[in-house]
Amino acid sequence: MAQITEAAHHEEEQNCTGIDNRKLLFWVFLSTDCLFFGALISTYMVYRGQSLVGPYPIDILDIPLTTISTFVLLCSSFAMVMALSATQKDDLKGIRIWLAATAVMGMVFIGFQIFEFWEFAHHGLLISTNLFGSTFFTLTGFHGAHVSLGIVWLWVLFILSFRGKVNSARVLDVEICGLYWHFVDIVWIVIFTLLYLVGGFDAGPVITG
Amino acid sequence: MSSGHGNEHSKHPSTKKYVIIAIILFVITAIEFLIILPESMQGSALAFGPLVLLSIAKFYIVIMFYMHLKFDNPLLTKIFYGGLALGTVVGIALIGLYAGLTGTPREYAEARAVPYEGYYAEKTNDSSAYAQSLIPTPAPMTESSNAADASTGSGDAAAGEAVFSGTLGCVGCHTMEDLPGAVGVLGPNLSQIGTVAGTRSALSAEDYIKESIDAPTAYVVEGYAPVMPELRSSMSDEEYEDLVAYLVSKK
Repeated sequence: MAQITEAAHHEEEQNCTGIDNRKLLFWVFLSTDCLFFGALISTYMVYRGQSLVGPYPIDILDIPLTTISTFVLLCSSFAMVMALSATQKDDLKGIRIWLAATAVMGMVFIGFQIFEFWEFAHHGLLISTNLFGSTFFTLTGFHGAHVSLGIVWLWVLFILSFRGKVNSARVLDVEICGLYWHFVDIVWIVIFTLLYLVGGFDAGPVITG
Repeated sequence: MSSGHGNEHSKHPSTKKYVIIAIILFVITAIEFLIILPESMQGSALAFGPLVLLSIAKFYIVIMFYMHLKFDNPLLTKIFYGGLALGTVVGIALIGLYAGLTGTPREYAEARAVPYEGYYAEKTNDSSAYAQSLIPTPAPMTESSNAADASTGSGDAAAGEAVFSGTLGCVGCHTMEDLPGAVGVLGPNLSQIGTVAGTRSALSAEDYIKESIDAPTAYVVEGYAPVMPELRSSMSDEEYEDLVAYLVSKK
């Protein structure tokens, strides 16, 4: 009985493109989120090297530490695809382990970010200090908010798995959460490269090197 | 794969492939970190190209395999690339408009920036000299009466407010809470300077304020850089007295 309603349910969600409505909508959302982050990243790049007072990026950015948190986020993306794979195989134990692993690694990443923000504030960089502070906190703060939402989403799926609501018949639930999580990861790939690896050595308006 | 859902999902990569992809992503990130490890490469234009290319590679691998666009309906790829392209074009346009085409805004910043002791103190061991070299010296006003009779007569505080918010530019660096536009943060907040001034040194409030204007670096409040320019020669004696009276009145 449950199988039949599930199947009927699924058929309703299809449209002429042959793609599930939810999945189609979610990709449209991710596409628009590219514009959102594109605007924030460009704003950072436009104001790069134009702060009039310190601290400047070179004074406070901790690149080795952020490389570690980047590794953690990459690992969590791997755990996410393993969670999806477990869902397809109806491997309940695997689903729970990998969903929890993804969420915990996301929380570790956020922990690094909170530590970083706290350190910056301690060294006198607030969102109102200079253009670097304003654009940096706005961009990485919104990224952190995305990660935090993803963590909540993952724990919700984790709890639902105990109520028998995460299985191969509902694989799309996990897949869409995964799409969101990987999107957050690719946004961080861009942020990490531009703000840390490329722009992390800016010493105010005088660009080093 | 026991149920009949294999038709679409069997096209997803296997666990082994996911592990290989994860390792590739790790290696790329490690290479990126190694590129900027030598000091000569830090902030170098030479590192920019490889770093961007490597991150594009990571981006592509994640969307194609982890987000399985490679195995999904091509329409999804088009939708995502559409937004991505639009975002990129908007970004390039913004950067071109504000940081490229209209001249060099960085030159504007370079002439006005105040170095932060963290980096420059290490690099030059003389941050204040560098700071002074960056601060433009205001041209002395020709009509200023150079009598310099050191009169102690009290000026007009109301007229002093006009001096404070006028062309000398005090408000650019100092905050005065009841004065709109006076929100600068380079120098100390002067909202209660009439009270605070008497506590900073052995001098009286009025003498301390005069010293701060006559010789800005004689006493620099902790936490601030010694960057205040000499402005006494840019104002007349009357303006000077009015300004001092205005500041003393700020209790």
